[in-house]
Amino acid sequence: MSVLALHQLTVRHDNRVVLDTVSLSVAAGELVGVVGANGAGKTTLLRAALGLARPTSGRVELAGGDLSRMTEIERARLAAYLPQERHVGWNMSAWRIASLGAFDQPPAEARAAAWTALARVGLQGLEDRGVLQMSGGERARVLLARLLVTASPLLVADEPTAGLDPDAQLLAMDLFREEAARGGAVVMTLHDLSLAARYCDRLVVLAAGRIIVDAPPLDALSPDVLVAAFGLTGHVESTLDGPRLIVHRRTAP
Amino acid sequence: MRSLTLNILLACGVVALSLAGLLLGETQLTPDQVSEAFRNPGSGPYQVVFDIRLPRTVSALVVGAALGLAGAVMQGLLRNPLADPGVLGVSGGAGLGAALAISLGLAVVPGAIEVAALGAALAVGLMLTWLAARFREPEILILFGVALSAFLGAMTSLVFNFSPSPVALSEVFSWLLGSVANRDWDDITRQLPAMLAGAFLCAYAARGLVMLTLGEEVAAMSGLPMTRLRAAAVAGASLLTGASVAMAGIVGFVGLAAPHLVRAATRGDPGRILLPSALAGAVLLAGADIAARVIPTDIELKLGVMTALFGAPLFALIAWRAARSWRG
Repeated sequence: MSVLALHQLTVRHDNRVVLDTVSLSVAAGELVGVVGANGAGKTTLLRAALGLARPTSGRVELAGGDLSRMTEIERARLAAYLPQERHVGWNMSAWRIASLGAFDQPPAEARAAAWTALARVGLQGLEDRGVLQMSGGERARVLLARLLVTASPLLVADEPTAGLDPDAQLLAMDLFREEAARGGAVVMTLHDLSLAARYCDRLVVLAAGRIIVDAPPLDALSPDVLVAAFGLTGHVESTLDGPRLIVHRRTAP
Repeated sequence: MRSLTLNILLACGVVALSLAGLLLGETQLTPDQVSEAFRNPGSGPYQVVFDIRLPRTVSALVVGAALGLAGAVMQGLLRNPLADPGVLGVSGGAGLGAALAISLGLAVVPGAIEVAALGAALAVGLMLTWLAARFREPEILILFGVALSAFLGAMTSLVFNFSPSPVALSEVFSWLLGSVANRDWDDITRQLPAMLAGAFLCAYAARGLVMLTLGEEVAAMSGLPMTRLRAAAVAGASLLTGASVAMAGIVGFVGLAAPHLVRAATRGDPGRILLPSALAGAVLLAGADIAARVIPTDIELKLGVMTALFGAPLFALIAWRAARSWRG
């Protein structure tokens, strides 16, 4: 049974088709990257998969259940979300923010889970610091820790590596791999195609709201797809660290 | 532990100001006279303490606490440090209700102005609760609130415009300036149910306010019943604000400033800030009321004037310090 399944999902905003009859299935243990140019519909796909954007037609299943019939609590047990927007309203401490991923657990357990997750994202020693006194990258790590604390069977992350330094980008991707290895499913959007090719089991390439390919990275990032979805010429090489994308040039004049 | 210490300190402040509120006024009472009031019902000091000073002090404490709590809830809900209890138009609604009641000559009926003010506030609150359940984004609520406040303000001006007599006009003005002078126990007990219901709803909404720190979408995905919690926050804050305006007229700045006074000590947590904000509001308003009593002026200063006069510079100071810490 798939953890997440989209069936013929279409989303319109003001009569503009943002997502066009998209079907997708994600199994437990999979790390799926959603890639595409700006405005291709990546974030809308994630939001629609979680019921945060209302589909015009089609349906979403979480763990086999119809999302539109679920209560907020049922949905929260099956999926957790890390949006791209990293605004935090108040200057709460890092551990308190991270512990919100486990708000339904006893305070001591939520606190312990938060400290563990902050250590995993490399923020040990900063647990008590106010998030508004942190750098943007540190705050992004705190929010990633909050996502990990949920221990949800499906983690949905929108651009989780944006704004992170190179080391933290690899750390974040390693953590998502660990979650997948534990049997969780991860769906994320990524702009860094090299990172996507190297870490993801499958890449879903979106262009103008449609899935143009859904395949392992080596197949998904074929020269034809790179031209069609990104307007780039390039190719993917296999290396010891995994597939690596070499971009040549833009196809547009 | 920091927030526990803060709550204890503020509670001590409430007790100290309550005692000061019994001693200080047009005629000063000595501690002996106050203790006589407690021992000897029917004595002169008894009447001053139990019929005048105590209800007045309790009114100031209750209204201050309600405004402080409502302000903290609004700031948490809208994730905006500039929000106050009146930002969505509830105070404006209560003011309009009172202005209408006074200019229609209902002031002679005991409690009529208060019922009109609370009723109008609840009508506005009901509409806002519906909006809060329907729209997730705080910006949309704020825009509706700004429109509603402007409209209700215009309606109040219209009441002034058509006011039959200058006496009624000055009565409305005087009422709107805010005061807890001459309040009796009936005034307090009439508003208490609305205030308690409001406080209960705000306490229920607290965990939703904490989750909203991470934004609407994360909160929506958190598993908390956010639609219900948001509606409870708006309804609770509206009840508190409406009942406060009904009891004491429009008293500005307390609801805005109280949460800021205690925010640093509560680490910005919009749930843990609720109790200390209520206590800080009570301290601020009881202090302002005592100041209004003892400042020697021919006509007693109105509470709403006092809080704005002293609250505004204080608030500017807090903003200055906050801005420096934000910039790091």
